[in-house]
Amino acid sequence: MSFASSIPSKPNPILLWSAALLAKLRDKWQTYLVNALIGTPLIAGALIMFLPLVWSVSFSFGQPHEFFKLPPPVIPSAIRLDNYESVFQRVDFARFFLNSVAVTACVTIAQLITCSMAGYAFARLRFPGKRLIFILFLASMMVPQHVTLIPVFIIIRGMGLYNNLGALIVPYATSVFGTFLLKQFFETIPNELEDAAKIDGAGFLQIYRLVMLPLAGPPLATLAILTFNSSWNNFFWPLIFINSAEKMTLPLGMIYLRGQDGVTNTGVLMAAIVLNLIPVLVFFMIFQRKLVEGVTLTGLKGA
Amino acid sequence: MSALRLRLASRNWNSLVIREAIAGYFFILPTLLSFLVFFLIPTISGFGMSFFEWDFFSEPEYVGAENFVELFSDKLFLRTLRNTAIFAVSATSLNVGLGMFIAIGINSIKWRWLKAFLRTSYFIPVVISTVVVALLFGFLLQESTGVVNYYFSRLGIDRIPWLTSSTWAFRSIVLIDVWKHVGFFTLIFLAGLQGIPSELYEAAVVDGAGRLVRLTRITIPLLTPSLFFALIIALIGAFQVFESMYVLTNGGPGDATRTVVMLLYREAFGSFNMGYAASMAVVLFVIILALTVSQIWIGDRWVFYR
Repeated sequence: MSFASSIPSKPNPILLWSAALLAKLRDKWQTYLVNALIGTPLIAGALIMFLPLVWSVSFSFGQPHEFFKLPPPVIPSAIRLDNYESVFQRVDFARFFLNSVAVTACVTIAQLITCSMAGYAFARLRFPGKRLIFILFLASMMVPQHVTLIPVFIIIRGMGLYNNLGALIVPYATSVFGTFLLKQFFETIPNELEDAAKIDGAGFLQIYRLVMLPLAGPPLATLAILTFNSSWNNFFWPLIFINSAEKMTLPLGMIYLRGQDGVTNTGVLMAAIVLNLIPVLVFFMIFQRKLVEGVTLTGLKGA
Repeated sequence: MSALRLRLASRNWNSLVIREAIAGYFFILPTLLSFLVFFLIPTISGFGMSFFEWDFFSEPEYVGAENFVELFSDKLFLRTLRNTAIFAVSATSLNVGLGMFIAIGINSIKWRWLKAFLRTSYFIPVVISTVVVALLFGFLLQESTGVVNYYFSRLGIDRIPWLTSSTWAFRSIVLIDVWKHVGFFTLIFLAGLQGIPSELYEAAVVDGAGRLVRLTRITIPLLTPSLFFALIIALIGAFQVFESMYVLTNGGPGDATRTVVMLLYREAFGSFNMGYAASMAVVLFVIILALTVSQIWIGDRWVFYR
């Protein structure tokens, strides 16, 4: 065989070593090349994600006459807070903010309680009709909320909650999605824990409070963060149920501010946008890991 | 003796069963009540309402299927339906397609810091409210004074009437939607990519498979479950689109960016045609249901399950 002769009987160690080094270098270069090749367009895309936010900050410091100055400054010429002052003068921005905080806090806390309760029941208790109810719950996730919109509007009015923050809280105090999330989690808890508590004479309420809840930290955190985000950003509901400025939450308040201002005073609008972005971005920075985990785990909310 | 024990046991069992059932209903009570009041009853009456003509103030009048007949000869409704469908298809394909490729790109980068940076940047818009996003882009996309057009003109591109021409307004809305949501889909695909066992790639490398082969023979087939999931979520969401149009164009210019939900909102809370609006919601529901069911049905053929 001809190729047998081309293989040296004793490999030259220097040759082997240099070949290994070469391969290593090539791998390293390939990594760099691939990273650069894929990374460049991705970084360009990331800039497109960032730039609008950067512009909103820089324009929020600008004066009206500067908006027509070209090129538009990426870095503001001076830090002036006039626009921020105007936001608070023109509308009761602090009120919007507090309303948002109140609604979001109530919705989040209520969902943590109701979802963990229902999740526990569906995962660990037997009762007639359980399967049917659960299937109905799941099916409801498929129905767009606009189907229920008009009847819910009538019901909310009937409850006397029209133009009341309660209209933004009560319908959101429970969540089928959250129930599902918690049910999935409670099903993974070993029976032994529950049995031990039962032998010690614990009732269902105690099992829920002392065995189940302390273990449910991670899914509850996921639920809290997703609920917080979707409640904070909810616009459609306030648009329908709130009609006076002192009851508005931030997203609706933004539209109200724009209506007060028209397009003439962009700086004020930009300042309001920045004031909106700050808490969301702080929230994002703190909970990023959890948020990403939650979205990938469940996929449903957040979009 | 044994019969007695059995009876005792079964009585015990019974009382335990009853106690457990009571506890079960107690724990689901808030959720069940809310489900009944804010979902089941409204859904049923929503369907019922679509057979009535009702202006909210006078007595509702039963009109049979007239609302639906009227809907499908209503030029404006058909227009919004078309707008919604075009929006849904373009936004879904862009969001899901781009999301998948961004995720594959991020995943193939070796440097951790770059990975983390990219993932974060694409995800940030997802947490911002659509209203804020729309207001911001409304400013950036202004035709004569907007920042985007300024840089485009520096690149030698003519000023684009982003929000004032009907074709461009529609495209702008789609692009803004992609800006806002692509990170969400990227994340879904990143999660899917993490689920692909690395042994598969190692085995492929041993067999001499190059990057392209690994991408088309391993990565993409094993991502099909994520793709399937992403498509369903994206389409359901896109058919209910409302906020960005409401804030940015209010359906205009003309009706170029008016969607079904926008028309529904106007009919219900602007013109108080409650029955007519309810019938729109029913049509929307049927469309979403049909699309989802057929996706699940078609999905069986192309989704790769391990």
